[in-house]
Amino acid sequence: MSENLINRILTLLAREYEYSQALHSEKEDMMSKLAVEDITSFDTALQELEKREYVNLWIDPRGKIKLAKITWRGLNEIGEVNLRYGLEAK
Amino acid sequence: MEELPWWTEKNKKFAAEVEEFVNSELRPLADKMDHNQAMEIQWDISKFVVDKGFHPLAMLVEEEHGGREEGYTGYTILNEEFGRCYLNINPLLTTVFGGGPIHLFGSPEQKENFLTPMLKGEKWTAICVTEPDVGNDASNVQLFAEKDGDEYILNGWKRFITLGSKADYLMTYTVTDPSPKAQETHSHLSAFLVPRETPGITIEKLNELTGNVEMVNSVIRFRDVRVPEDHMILFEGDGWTVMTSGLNIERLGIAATVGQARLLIETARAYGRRRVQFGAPISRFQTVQTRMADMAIRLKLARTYLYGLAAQLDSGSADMFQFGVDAAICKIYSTEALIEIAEDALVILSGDGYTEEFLAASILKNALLTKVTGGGNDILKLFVGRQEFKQTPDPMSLPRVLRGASPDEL
Repeated sequence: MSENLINRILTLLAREYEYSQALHSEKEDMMSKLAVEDITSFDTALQELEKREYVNLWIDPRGKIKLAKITWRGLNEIGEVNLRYGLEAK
Repeated sequence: MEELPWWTEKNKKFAAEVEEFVNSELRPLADKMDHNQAMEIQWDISKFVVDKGFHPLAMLVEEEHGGREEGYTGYTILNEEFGRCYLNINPLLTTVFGGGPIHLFGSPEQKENFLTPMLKGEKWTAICVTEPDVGNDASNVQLFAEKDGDEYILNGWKRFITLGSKADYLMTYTVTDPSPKAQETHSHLSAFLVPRETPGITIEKLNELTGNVEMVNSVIRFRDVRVPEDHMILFEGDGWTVMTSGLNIERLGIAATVGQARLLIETARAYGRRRVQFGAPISRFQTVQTRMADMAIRLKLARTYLYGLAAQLDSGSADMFQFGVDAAICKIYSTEALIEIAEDALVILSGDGYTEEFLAASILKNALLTKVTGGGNDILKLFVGRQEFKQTPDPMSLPRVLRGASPDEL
């Protein structure tokens, strides 16, 4: 599993949280923003993040991961989030 | 943008061109601004839009006068796409409403002298109909114009004039014949294009509006304002024709609020899919789905009717002057639909809907104005209702009891 991908996802989710504290992020949208095409490795990374309690996932009734949102643990892990725009996803 | 089945190839090509311009050039400019900045009058952006060839007035004007001849469909496409940006580009809109009558009725000299500078973005126009004592009763204008040699002398007031203190020209409606007979036949009015810098014009006070706070609403006083005869649009006594045609263009323009409705629906769609409550995205809840359905139905109907009317005008099966009922229905439905769509979007977005980032509350506040401007919806409904009763009923669509059938037939 790529620790790099996990960090990129977490950074992106922290950035999305800066824009709106209310909304989850859509998986397809995240994959497009991070230019990741391999859905299996992306799902694995998200599941690992959930296991570490850094994100909450919403999985649809068919078992597909649809939405993700950073938790307060994830925010602590990423560092300071000042609710300002500008934290760039890498 | 979604194409309508009757659009010509020219319409489709133009829609794609506008969408590309809005997405690649206008939206990035809007995205750089916070809400308050976006609501200030965007003079630079208005000029930029004109320079890029997208002045709404140019859509209506013939190529020989510097227009693009995209017709009312092109005009509506442009308004819809601008609505989606949610920027304050009122100078473009008031110039169409004020310049439209010159395009329809102006002499070749007037088109050359007034319309061409408007199309180049060098001059902006405001329309002056409303007065302190005249609102929906628009034919009861009291700004008086008296002939003196080859000039007219204007005296009176105008009120609620959008961009009144900023525009270069004021499309002004005046009384030239106050006799009861003239009033009865609506031949008491005349229309003038008055340069704002004319001596005798003063801006007495700026009204404070609740929404659309940057519209620069003005109260204008005309004191012995001398206007040359050649600034009159059409002839003395034709002001009502000029005014109603101009208002019809305005009503079609206001009806293009469908662009803002699209912005709201897209926002609610994104929000509904991504907001998780009770363990599921709220788009899965039926109350949210029915709200979304109501929004989609209203947008679809408003948009279809609007483009249907634009196509009628383009094909020549309707003309701008005889088109009042349809323009009124379109304006009433579209503006009320926008208000209802904004309310539904606000409820779907809940607390976020009441923030300025998500725009729903801001659009709702500004949309309330569309109900009372360009002819209040209530007065337009009276107009529609009266026209309906003027038509003779179709006997074959009546129950037998109303057809006056003879006893033998019964």
